[in-house]
Amino acid sequence: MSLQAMDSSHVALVSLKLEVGLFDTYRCDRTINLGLSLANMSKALKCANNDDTCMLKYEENEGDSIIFTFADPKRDKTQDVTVKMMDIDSEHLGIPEQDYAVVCEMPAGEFQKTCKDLSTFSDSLNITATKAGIVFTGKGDIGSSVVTYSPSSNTDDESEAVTLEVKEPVNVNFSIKYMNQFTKATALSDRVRLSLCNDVPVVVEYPIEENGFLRFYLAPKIDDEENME
Amino acid sequence: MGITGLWKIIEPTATEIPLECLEGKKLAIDVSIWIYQAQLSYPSDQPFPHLRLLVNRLSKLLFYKIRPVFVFDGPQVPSLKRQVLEARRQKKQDDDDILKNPKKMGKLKEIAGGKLDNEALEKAIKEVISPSKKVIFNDVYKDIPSTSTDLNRPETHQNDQLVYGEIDEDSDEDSDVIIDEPEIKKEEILKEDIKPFSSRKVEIRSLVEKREVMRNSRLRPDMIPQDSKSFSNFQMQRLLQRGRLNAQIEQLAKSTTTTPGVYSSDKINVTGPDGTSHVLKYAHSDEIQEFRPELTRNFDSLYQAPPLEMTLDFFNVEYGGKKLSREVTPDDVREEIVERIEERLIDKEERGYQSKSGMLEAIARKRVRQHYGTETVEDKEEERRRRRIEEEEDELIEVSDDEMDLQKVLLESASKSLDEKMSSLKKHQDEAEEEWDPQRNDVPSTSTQNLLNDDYIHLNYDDDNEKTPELYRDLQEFLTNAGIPWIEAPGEAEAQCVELERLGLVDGVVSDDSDVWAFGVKHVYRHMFAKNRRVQRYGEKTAANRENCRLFCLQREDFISIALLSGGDYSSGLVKVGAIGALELVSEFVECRTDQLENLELVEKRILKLLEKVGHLFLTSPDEKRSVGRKAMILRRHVTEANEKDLIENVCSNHDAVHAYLHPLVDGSSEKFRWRQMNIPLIRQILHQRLQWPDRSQHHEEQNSFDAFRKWNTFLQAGGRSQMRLDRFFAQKLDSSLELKWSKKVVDALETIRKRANGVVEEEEIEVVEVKKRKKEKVIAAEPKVTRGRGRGRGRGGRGRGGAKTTKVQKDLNLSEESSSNDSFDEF
Repeated sequence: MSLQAMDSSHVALVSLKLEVGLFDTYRCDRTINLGLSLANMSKALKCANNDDTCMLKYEENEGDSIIFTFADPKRDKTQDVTVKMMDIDSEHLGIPEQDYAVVCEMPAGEFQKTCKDLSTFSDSLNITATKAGIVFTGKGDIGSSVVTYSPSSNTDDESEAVTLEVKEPVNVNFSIKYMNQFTKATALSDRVRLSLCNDVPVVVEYPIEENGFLRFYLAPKIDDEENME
Repeated sequence: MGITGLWKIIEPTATEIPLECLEGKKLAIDVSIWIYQAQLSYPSDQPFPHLRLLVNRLSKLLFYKIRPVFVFDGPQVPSLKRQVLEARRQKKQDDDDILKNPKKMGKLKEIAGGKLDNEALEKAIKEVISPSKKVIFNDVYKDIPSTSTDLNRPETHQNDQLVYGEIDEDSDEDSDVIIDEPEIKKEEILKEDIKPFSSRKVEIRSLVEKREVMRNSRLRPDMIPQDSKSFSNFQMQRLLQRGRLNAQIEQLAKSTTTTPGVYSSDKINVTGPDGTSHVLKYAHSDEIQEFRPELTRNFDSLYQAPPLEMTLDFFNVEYGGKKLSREVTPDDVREEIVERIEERLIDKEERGYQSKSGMLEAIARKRVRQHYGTETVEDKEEERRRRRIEEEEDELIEVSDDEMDLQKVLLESASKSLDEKMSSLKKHQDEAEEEWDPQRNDVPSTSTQNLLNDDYIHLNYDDDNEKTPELYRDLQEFLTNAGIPWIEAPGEAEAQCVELERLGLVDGVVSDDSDVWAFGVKHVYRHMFAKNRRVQRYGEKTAANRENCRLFCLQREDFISIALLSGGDYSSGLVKVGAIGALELVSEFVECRTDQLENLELVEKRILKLLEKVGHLFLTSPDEKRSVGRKAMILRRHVTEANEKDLIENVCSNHDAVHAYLHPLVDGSSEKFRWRQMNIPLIRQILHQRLQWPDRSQHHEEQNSFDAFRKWNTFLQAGGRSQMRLDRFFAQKLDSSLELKWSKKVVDALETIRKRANGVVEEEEIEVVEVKKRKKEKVIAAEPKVTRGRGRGRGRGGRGRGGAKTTKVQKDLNLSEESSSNDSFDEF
């Protein structure tokens, strides 16, 4: 099951993929696009408790809504939430394949902290990656913060390592506000992968076990220091 | 015009992108042909067509928040370019030359046969002479006592030089630049020709030089007063200054003249800055006279040319192009015309107006079409039209001396159509038996000049000798007012664009000129302003064009080699060698270049070496060749059949051209560009004034422009830093490949080049030689097998230890290569 959503300003896109292996039961007779308002869906999901199981059900001949069934096995409780679907004009977006110039993997927590730190100085995050390392810079009126990772960090623990593949150096700017939102997914995964290319949206990917991922695409900001007048 | 056929080779690596992708990018815009395009795209009554075009295109760029840097051509274009252009023109001219043109020869024979009735005879003759009116003028000059004899003396020698001079004139229109060297030559000629007046000549010359300097010198923005009042004063002063100079020159010129009437105006031309070209004319006449004196007599009797022709002669430039002589009505002539027009149309389509000379021709053509409608019409209509033309042309001569200067320049740069006009005018004058009066030239041109004349005047600015400075200044002034950066290249605009990219001042180059590749461009945006096409982006690998990019291995040095072999602005190229042929040649001789790609000296050496080898291939006898493949042999036969030995030698040892491509004259300043917000009321005022937009109601062009300008301002207000939106990337597919594939030939050549360039070459050569020793055929059989994909290991006549190595190199090169790599090219 894949989910895609874009923010209203069309700057960021989230793409969630849950493969069949993640589900206890999964049945899908044919490929179908279901349009849901994220706000409404989150209303439904908020009804759930932490340990509930969730079942999503859609039947083609049962009108235009999806049923979320939350079951609490301890209490033998079920809760059905029906959410009306909405017309979505666009099909599932075909996200074009892209050869990224830089792919960096790092601990998800590290990335979260970096973004948080930089956001206190700046509202925009500069990522510069070369073979020598990857540098996150937040520069603002009050000062700046620069975080540098060298790929050679010899951590014993694999999950702590920062790995960097660089085909071409990259220098891109992003809105840090969005990045901070993305890092809320840190709980999902130990590792985060950043795929970067100049002038192309960054991909921030959190793997979900072995069976899926949560990806965020964020369009770059165009930087123009010489035109600040 | 760029490198012949190169786009076709490069095109498959392009991706078509939505303009939204370019938001915020800094792009260098090559405007070198815009003024010519403007001539073509707007009605001739449009004031400041170039400005209108600029505004429209600027609007488009700003609408998409592209940060443009406009790059104008400069005066210092390599003399090579002139030579090449001249050679081209010469060739065209040859086609029109009676002696060299079979068709005309045939006509001549008809005439000689005497079987034609009067009317047909006249027509036939007209057709024959139409392109070479010099023949007629020759007669006139024969009677001129002083000057012409003077001129006649240093005949042959002079002719040579004059050809040079003409190159100069001709290429002016293309390059819009003056080169010092030919200039000097012309001056020398002048000196020689007019010895009697030498002292004055010197004076005139110095004045002329002064004027040239004034014309050539361009104002830096900082020299231009900001305040509007002082600006206008400033302009006025400059104008007056120039006017004074002109007057001085003219006066001097007149006083040098000893002969009355005819000669005086003649003299003016000789002495004036443009007079040089007049001298050329004599030479041409001489030349022709040499060739066929009987002919001359023939025409003489038919057209007892009144002195008026003298004036026409000033305008008469050797275009060697098609003369759509309006008076020639017979079918065969029309056919020829139509045929030629079609040729040219095809030509045009192919080149897409990429060359300035092409543009000029097109402009002329447009005019012809405007005025004469389609070429295939009933004789009657033609007759009527002719009359109209004659009327028009009547007015044509009513120009002042000064105007005449302009006109001449313009005419030189315009094209055959002018010639035609002149010829018909001349004929008309013949019929009317008007007396030529030099004073006519002093009659100021009237505002009643018809459309045609207006056209001339426009064009005139345009080519206003050394460089369309007026036009460029209009545009530059506007851009300055609009807060858009521009730069005037010292030499070619394309080269400057590339330099800006190299310096990191811009992200890419917007040009439709394939020369940019030879200058080493990395990112090109083509068809930026084409109406029905999407922008093509070159130089960036994406999923859409990955396959083609993987195969594509050509680099700047290859482009230069191709330019030299197949023909470009700096090299005429070999006959019958197109870009693909050149590519194959390159693939035969390319060498390992894995290291120091950026070292221009090494690159230059490699190119020269390659050319040398190519030359060697063509110039030595087959048995002297050692290890060349079958393909090379085929090419060899092909080329040696079509090319003179001299040409091959020239092409293959053209160090200057290689140097010119590698070291173009550019401004290396790394000062950053700035974009200011637009003062919309000011811009509106300027545009209303200049473009004569209707005052009250906004028409859509204005609306569009100002929408774009406002959007641009908002963009800049936001600090120029903009958050891009994903729609640009996802909603519309990021970009689409053109679905273009190379032909097998090209693919093979590319494969070979890549292999060799990466150092596999040595093993290959060794192997080839080895194999050759054993069995020659094997090489030959193996050669065509060089195929794509996994076939890489082949084509070397064996898969020895080199095979493994090749594959390794390839893998390193193509990181994303997978088994699917074969698919796309298997269709061939």
